[in-house]
Amino acid sequence: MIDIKEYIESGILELYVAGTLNREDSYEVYSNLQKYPELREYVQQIEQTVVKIAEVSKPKDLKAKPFGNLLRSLHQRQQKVIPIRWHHYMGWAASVVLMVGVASLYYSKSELNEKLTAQTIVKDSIKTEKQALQADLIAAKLEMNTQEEVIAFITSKETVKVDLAGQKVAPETYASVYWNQDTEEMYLDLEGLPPAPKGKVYQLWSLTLNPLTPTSLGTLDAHSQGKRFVKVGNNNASQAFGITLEPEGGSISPTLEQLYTLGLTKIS
Amino acid sequence: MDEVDFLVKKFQEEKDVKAYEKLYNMYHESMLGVIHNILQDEDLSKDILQEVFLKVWDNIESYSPKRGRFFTWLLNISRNAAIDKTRSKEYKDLKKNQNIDIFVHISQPEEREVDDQEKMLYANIKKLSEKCRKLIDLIFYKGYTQKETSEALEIPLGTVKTRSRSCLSSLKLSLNP
Repeated sequence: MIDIKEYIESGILELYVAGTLNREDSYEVYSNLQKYPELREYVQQIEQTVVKIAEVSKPKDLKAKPFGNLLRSLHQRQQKVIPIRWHHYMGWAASVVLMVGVASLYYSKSELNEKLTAQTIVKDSIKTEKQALQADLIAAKLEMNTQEEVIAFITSKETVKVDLAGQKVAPETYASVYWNQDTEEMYLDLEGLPPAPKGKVYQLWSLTLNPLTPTSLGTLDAHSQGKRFVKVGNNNASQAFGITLEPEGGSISPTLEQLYTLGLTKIS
Repeated sequence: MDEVDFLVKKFQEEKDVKAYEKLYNMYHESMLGVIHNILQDEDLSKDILQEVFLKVWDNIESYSPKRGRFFTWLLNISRNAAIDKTRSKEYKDLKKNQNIDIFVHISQPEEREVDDQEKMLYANIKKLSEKCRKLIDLIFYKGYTQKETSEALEIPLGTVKTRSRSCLSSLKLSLNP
């Protein structure tokens, strides 16, 4: 049993928040925080004061870059890593070297990487084409769908709405995704996207963030034809959706400089 | 378990991006303040802030609540990243004044949208003694150890602890008046 008042007045909690206690003392404070809610509350107050001072200490106009930039950096960094994950192939490469001997040493890291990359691209482009076709088919079918169906889908309990906010190149744009994970279908409301410039098309991406991987959900050709709602199939465990502007026909991986809108799903 | 602990746990265990975003929203402004306090350069501070949160993403597994608050962990990363930057040639060429304490830019509250809590904070800061200003700045915002602080301010080691409490509590925001 400790004397709460005395403990608080000793100043140990301030030093705990500042991070200047050694490991043993920190652990002791941690244990006491678990036992005494008054101490926990006091620590939160210290933290809030320190946070507030720091917040008001910066020049009035100094603002952080938007969170989207941070996500993009995470994403871009990840893209540099994929598909050249050399260490994954290390063990395999080593066994090849053992089997076929010295000659294999000439099978250099870069050649192997080139092959791996080429294979990944071929695989991806087939997938992208397939998905683009799929999106077109659905969009064509959509014309025959009644408006009631769209409304029923959007208002369904199983449908989650994901708002995509305008990014750096087009901050004024927006879009909404209505996603039903049960039926693996989505309606996009693209009212907030301007017509794509000639020779360009919007492309929808599903993103998973650990590791950060974009999957194309196809180009939004129906939007180019003036449609506001587009229906797309999505069986991915998407953690975010993004829309980029791409050359006609779409791209294998998103052109991040042309990221128009981005939004995180609640399911993640 | 408070909200922060919950978010940290969710982010740590599931790499939940929503939780990460919430933590970012809670702390990015204060961390920008901490970094700017050390660097005194706006553009550089924004870059370092971004680096800090990338580090948070990469290293969240290494955080343990048993060793300290998430805030303290984040504060440490931010201070260290900023201090590291001050050692670079790029930074040295900027010839920034590094002897500025956290309170220097808090002089004109009338320029900001200020709520009651903030008003009180400003009033209390005005009343703060020079000794307290220095101590709070070094301990919380410059990452000095107790020993370094006692040497820099020429006060006994034990005084650092008690004075941290008395100085900060004179500023404490009244949450439960």
